[in-house]
Amino acid sequence: MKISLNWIKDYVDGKFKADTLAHRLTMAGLEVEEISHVGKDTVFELEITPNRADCLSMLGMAREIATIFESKLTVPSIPKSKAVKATVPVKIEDKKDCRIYTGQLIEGVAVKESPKEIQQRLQSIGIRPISNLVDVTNFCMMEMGQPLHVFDADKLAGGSIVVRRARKGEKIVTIDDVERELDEGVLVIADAEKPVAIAGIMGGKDTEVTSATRNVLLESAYFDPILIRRTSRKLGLSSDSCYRFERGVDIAGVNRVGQRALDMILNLAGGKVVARGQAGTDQVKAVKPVKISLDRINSYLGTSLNATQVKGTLKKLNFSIVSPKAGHFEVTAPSSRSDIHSDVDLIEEVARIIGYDNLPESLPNIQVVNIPENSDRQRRQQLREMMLSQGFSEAITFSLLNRKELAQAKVESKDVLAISNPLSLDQEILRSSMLPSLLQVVRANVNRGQRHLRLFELGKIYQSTGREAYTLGIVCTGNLVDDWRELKKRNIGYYDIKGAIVQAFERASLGGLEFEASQFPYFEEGNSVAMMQGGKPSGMIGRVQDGVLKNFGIKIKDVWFAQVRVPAVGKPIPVVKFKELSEYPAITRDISLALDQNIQYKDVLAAARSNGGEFLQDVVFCEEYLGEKIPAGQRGIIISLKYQSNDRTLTEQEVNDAHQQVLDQIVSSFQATIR
Amino acid sequence: MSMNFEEIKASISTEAAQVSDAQQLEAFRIKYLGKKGVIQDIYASLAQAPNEEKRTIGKAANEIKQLATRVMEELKTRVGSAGGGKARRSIDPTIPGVAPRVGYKHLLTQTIEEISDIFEKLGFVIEDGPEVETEFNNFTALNIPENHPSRDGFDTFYTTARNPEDQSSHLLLRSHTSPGQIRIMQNNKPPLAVIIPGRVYRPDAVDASHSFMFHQIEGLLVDKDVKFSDLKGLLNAFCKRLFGNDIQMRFRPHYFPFTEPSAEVDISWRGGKRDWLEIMGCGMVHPKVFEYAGYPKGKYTGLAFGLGVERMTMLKYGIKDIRLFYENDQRFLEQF
Repeated sequence: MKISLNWIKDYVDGKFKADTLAHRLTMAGLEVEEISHVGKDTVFELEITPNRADCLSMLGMAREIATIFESKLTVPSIPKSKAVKATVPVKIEDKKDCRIYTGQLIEGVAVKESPKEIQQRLQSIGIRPISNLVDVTNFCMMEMGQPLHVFDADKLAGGSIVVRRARKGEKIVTIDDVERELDEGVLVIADAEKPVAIAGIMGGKDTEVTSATRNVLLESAYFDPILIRRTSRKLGLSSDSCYRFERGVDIAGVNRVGQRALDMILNLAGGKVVARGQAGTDQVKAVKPVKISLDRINSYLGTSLNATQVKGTLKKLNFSIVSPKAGHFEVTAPSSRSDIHSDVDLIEEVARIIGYDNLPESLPNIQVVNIPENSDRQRRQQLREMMLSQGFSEAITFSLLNRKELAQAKVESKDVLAISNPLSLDQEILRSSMLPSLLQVVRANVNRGQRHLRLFELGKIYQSTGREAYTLGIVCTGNLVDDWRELKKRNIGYYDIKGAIVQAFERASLGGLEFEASQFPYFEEGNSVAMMQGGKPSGMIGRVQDGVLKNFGIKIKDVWFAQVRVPAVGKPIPVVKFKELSEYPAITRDISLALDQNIQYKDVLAAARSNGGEFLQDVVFCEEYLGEKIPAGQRGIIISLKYQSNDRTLTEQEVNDAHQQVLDQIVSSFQATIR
Repeated sequence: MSMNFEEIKASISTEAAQVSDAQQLEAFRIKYLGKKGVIQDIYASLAQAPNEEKRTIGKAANEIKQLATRVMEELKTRVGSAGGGKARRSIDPTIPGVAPRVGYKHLLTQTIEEISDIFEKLGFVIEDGPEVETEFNNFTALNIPENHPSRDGFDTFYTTARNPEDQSSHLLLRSHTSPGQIRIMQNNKPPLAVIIPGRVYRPDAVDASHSFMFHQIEGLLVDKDVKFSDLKGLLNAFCKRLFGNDIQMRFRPHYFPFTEPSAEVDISWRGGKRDWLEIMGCGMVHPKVFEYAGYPKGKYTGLAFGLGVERMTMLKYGIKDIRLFYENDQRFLEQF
């Protein structure tokens, strides 16, 4: 909101330097965002927080300034208007929509330009002068915060006013020349036949005051803030009037400001008031005073204020105070301060006017907190550190997706949580897979010539029920190593990603993963693996299908993706117990086998483990070999077995016996040939 | 075939002295050590040589080869190799080293950790909360009235999933990390000191300074005697840790429904232009919030604060476009 310093000075005594004033206002919670100069005037652009509707006027701001600077405030006197006999018929259909509506019929006005001073006042705060009548309504709104409207009374059918909801299909052309279709959600001011204004927001073109207007109806009312805001949003239409109504005007001002405007109109445009009408009431239930004690204020703020300081501050804000006993106050705020409900609101007023910067500072005494460390968060931290140390950089992508992208990524889209009010298609759904987001990252990088990527994201995926789960997503492409000595660069692939995931999960105490071949729609055949944890599916690794890459506009091939659920363990990370280091030599024996291609390594490993006896410490996979020397349908593998004892050197015979067991078992169970 | 071995040795030395570039070096290599070079000729001649001479010739050939090879190595270090030469004997210390590949932590994660660490050292615990939230936790329990504008679809993303505990309302994407406060309070008794970092969502069009997803860090301290002065002291200490001792901080009154008094925190750098930059919102926990959390009336006071991670990061590193954070251009990620 804009305020004019010259205008403010009409109400507040004293000289203010613009910079000082701006600073003091800002520090009182009325943030000055910009200072500009209009002619000889200084204009402040303010950000008024939604709780301070009382500050949306010159007089409201003048009150704050007078309080802050301890200067005198002069409120314009409004003459009592003469009684009239005639009545303007006014009806409110639902008092919840409009608590009070007043109309004053003025006859014989002369529409012309308003005086220079008024034009300047309006221009200084960015309002275009239109005519004396319209300018008066704007002037009074800006002066006192109560929006007003004038209708050309001769154009009101039946000369009566009904405040009602619009009927479906009703239309109105507003003064901005736009025809608007209305429905039951919109509150209108209607005459006997049709809507003549969208209540609180904008008047209608048909009943607008023109140079030919002679008789006017002056409206002053209180409309429901929520209804006005909803209507404004729905119609995409806002105005200075609407801005004030939706924040809540002071109901006590409806009649007062109506009188102020009438007085000004009679002065500037002549005419006389011939009839009045009112529906509803501006009487409000007496609010209970808020009780507060000096001790409460001081212990809440960490201050040592005395009763005089507190009372003085609140009185300056026009609050009335009764002190039933020493150090206790019962405070009633003026009706314009609808934001004051409880003791903490008063504490804020005291703190704000004294100035937050003038309040003391202390360091909190932080007790040992009752909440245990979040061990799952610690596990995720370790997982992240492991991925980083293994050469994967961290990406952060949007959790929202375009539904189309799921289809492009061939991700199944049944169990998807949708957004009911997306602003754009890119916010349609919450991701159920990390594949689309990470492919977007690949595209962005590849398009800029970066083709060797190793990225991970530690984020969430979501289900249609609203459930969310921490998930590790990985996407890789290009060379594994960046070493000028390596002539042949090797592309990153399945075993690199699997190794990184397994190692990271182990270090983060996230439990064991199992891997099995399983075809996912978005992976190339034979390069598609499911991850399981505790017998349940927990993710996948695979080479992204060329078709999917093409769908995402990625111009390279050989992109690998993995995604694995990061389980919520809910228990502290166990301490690793020390194992004795053997002082005796280890003996290793290699086995080179040829066996059926369909036999998986995990079965060979299990056979070795269960037959290797107590001294078998470790089984290491050394090589997979597919070539001429291996019969068709078979593959060659080499494993290395390590035998060791913790209390003595093993004899040749002991190792041979154990190793023979392993060999025999492998040969017999898998029909393998020892090579 | 008569060859004067001594002459050959002499010419090797003489010619070597004249080698001054890689091309000449290569010519030298071909002449003496090449497949059809002088030394190869000598070895070839061995076959036809009389037996009694073979030994002498062989010995001389070896000597010449050794000499030529040694001279070659010396020349290589002097004039450089024309390629195809064998590995040099000494390291060129100026060739780039081969660094094991490491990953780069996303800058936003770095900021979150940096800020969390500061509070962790002060005794706060780092917690977590869901992104898909209930209306109750995101609004009602935070004293945001039923018809507050922020509940509008214009300011909050609603999902199609119903709240399992209240079928009449839909789950939403949290528009701030403050519902985390509610969850912590519902499940724990004071004293509490927690930091809750995480993603938040608001329906905004994406441009250089807006995004529909961003990160916040929420802080909450609840105990029997937490004061507004503690809030000032705590955040002043925090700002100095994060931005250095050269900053000044000011508390400006503001409005949040869930704190009272509420403030915004601005900082500026001493000595520089007096520009105040808003960095966070804070306040004393509103008694209504304690009521919703189920705490006994009047027993506790508390302070709360919230800050935008992207904004802090942009401020600290001089980043002008928020979109860079979510694009994940490798060149961006690997700068920090």
